[in-house]
Amino acid sequence: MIRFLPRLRVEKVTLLGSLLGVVAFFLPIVVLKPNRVAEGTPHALWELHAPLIVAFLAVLVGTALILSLGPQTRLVRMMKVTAGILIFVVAVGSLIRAGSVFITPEMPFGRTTPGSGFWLAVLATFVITDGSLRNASIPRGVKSAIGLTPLLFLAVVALLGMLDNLAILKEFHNRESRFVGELLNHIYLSFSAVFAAILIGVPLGLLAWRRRKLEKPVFVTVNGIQTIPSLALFGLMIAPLAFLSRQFPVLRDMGIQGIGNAPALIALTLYALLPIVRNTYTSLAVIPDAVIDAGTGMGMGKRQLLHFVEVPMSLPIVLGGIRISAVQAIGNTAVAALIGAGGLGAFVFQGLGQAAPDLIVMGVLPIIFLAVLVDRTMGLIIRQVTPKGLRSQRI
Amino acid sequence: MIEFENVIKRFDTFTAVDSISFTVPEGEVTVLIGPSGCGKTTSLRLINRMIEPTGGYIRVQGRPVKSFRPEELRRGIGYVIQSVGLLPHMSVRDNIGIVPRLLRWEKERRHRRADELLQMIGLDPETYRDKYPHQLSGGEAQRIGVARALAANPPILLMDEPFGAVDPLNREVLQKEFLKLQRKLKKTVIFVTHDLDEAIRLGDQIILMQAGAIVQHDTPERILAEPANQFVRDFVGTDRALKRLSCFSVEDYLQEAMTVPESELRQARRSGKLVSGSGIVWVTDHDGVLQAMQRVTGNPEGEPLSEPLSRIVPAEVGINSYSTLRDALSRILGQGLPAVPVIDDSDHVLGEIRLADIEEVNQSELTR
Repeated sequence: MIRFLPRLRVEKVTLLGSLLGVVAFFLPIVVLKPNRVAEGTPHALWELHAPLIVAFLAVLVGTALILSLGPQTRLVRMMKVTAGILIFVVAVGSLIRAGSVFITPEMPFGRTTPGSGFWLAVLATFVITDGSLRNASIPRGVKSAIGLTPLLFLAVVALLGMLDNLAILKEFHNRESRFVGELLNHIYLSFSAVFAAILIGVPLGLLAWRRRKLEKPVFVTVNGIQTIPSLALFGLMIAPLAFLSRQFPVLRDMGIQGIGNAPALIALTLYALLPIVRNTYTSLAVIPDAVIDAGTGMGMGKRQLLHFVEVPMSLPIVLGGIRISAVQAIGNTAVAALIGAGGLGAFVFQGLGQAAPDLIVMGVLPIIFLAVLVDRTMGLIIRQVTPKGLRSQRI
Repeated sequence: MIEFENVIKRFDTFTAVDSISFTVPEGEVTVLIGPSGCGKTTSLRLINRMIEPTGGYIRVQGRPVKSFRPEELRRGIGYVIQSVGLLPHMSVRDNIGIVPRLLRWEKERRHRRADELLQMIGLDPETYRDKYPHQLSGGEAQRIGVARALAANPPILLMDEPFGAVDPLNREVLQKEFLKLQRKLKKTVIFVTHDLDEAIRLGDQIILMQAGAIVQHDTPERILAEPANQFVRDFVGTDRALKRLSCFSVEDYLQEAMTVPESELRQARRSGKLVSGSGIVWVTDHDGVLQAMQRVTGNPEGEPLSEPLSRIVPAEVGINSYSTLRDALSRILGQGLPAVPVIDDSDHVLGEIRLADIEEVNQSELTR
C-alpha cells in the first residue's frame, strides 16, 4: 500500500510548549515603571525595535513546532532541547534590550519588570526541554546539567550587570550590603532551629515509642503547636520572654529578650518538632515485630539491635522528617522578621510596608532557592543512607 | 538434651504453662503440638529465655538456662519463626551471617559459611547471596531462615511453626528437605506446630499439650494407635488409620523389585525370567535409570505378554526413600498400580512398595 503522507506522530508536550511560545509573542514581554511604586506600562516584543530578536524567536518557536510533528529520534530531541534553551536566552536578551531602549537619562528611577510574555517564554522553555528529556535515556547528571544551563546563563548575565535595569536587581543593589548579612542570618536561624529540633525531637519520638503511656501526651502537644498560626506563636513568645529577661538579668546579658533572635529560635524550633518526632516514632513503629523478635532470638542485645536493625532501618525515615522540618523552617523564618529577628523576611515585610512588590520578590526568591537547595541535598543524603534492600520498597 | 522440670509460666492471671516436665533427647525432633493457646510457643520461648519462667527449672545440656547470659544462650541455639524475620535491609548472605557476626567471626569465614549453607538448602549461592528479602518467595525466605539458624552450627534448633505461612504444596517440599537435612545434621530440634500431619511426618516424639499441660508425650505412631484420652482422640481425628501410615518410612517396608534393562527385556521374557511378586517389572536403560514398566501376568512359562510396555515419568510414578507409607498409598491409588517403585535422586530403582504390604501394616498394627 502506498502512503502519500507519512503518518504524523505528534509529540504533544513539545507541541504545547511551542504553542506557549507562539502566544508569548502577542503578550507584553516587559513592563516599564517610572519608579519603584508606580504602575507600569506593558510593552510588546516589537516595541523593542529589535527585528533580530523577533526573527530569532520566531525561528526557534517554529523549529520546535515542526519538530514536534515528526518522529522523535535522538537528534530531534537534542535539537528540541537546544531550541528550548535558546528561547530562554532570547527572552532574557529581550529584557536586556528593553533596559537599553526604555531606560533613558530622562528617567533616572525607571526600571523594567518581566511581562507575561517573558514568563510564558520561560514556561515554553521548561515544557519543551523537560518534555524532550523526560523519557530520554540520558544519565541523571547530564539531565541536571542541561536543566541548570539556563539558570547559569541568567546568573552570568546578571553578574555582568546587563540586567541592572530590572526592578528586582535595582532593589538588590540598593541593599547589597544588607543582603548577605540577612541571608546568613536566615540560614543561621533556620538551621539552628532544625538542629535544636533534632536534639529534642528524636529523643521525644523514641520516648513516645518506648513508653506507650507517653505517646498520646507527646503527640497532642506537638500536634497542638503545629496548629497555632505562626504569626500568633511568634507573638506569644514576646510576653513571657520579656518578663523572664526583666526578672533575670543573666538572661538579658545572654541576649534573650522579648523580641529578636531568642523568641524566633524558640518558635521555629517548636514548629520544626512535629515532622521529626512523628517520623522518628513512625520509623520505629514500621519495623516488623518479627524482625525484632528474630534479632533478639539470635542473641542481639539492646545495643546490637540498635546498631544492626533499628538505626539502619529507621534512619532514612528520620532524615525524611528532618528534610520536611528544614524546608518548613526556611519558610517560617521569613515570618520571624516580624519580631525583629531579621532574615530574608525583613525584605519581604519592608516591601509590603513600602508597597514595593519588587522588593518582596527579592526577599522571596532566595528563600525559595534555599528551600529547594536544602530539599534536594537532603534527598541525595537520604538516597545514600537508605540500605539497598529497602530502596525499592519505600520512598 | 533439654530438660523441663515443673516449669510454670503465668501472665498476670493467665497460666500459659502449668508445671510441665519433659526431656528432649539429643539429636531428635520433638514436636510440641496442640490447639492455639495451649502453651506450646510459650514453652519454646522459655528455652532461649525470650520468656522467663515463673517457676521450675529448664536445663540445656545439663546446665540451667538461668546460668547463661541470655544473649550468650541464644547465640548457641538456632531460632526459626513463622514470619521468618529476615532483616529487610540486609542481603541474604548478611542475614545468614548475623549470628557468626555476633560471635565475631571474620568476614571471609562468614561468607564462606553462607555459601556453604545456601548450597546445603539447595539454593545456588551465585544467584541468591546478594538478593534482598523482598526479592524472595515465601518458600525461599523460609529456607534462608533455616540456613540462618544453622549458621553458627548450634546443636539445638528451636522452630516455631516455621512452615506455617507457606502454601501446602511448598510446605510439603520444605518438610521433606528439612527431614533430609536433619538426617545429615542430627540436631536436637524442638518444633512447634498445630498441624498434626506435620507433627507425624517430622517428629520422633510428639508432645501434645492442652491448656498449659502435657496430655500425651509419645512417639507419633503410639499417639495415633493409643490416644491417651478423649481429647487426644478428638485431636487426631477419625482418619487416624490413614494418618498413622505417615509414621512408617518406606525404607522399612521396601521389597525387592524386579528390574530388567530394556535391551534384555525380550530375552528375559523368552527365558521365563520375567516374574515379579507384585506383578510389575521395572524396565530401565543400561545405566539402571527407570524408563518404563511391564505388567506381567502370573504365567512364568513365558507366554506372549498381553500388556504392552508402558513408558513412565519416574518422578510421577516413583517415590523417594524419604517418603512415608501414606505417600506410597496415595501414589498407588493415584496410579492404579499394585505397587510403586522407590527411586533415588537419579531415578535408579531401590525397590518397591506393594499395596498388600501396606494393608498388612494397617491391619496388624491397628489391632495390636
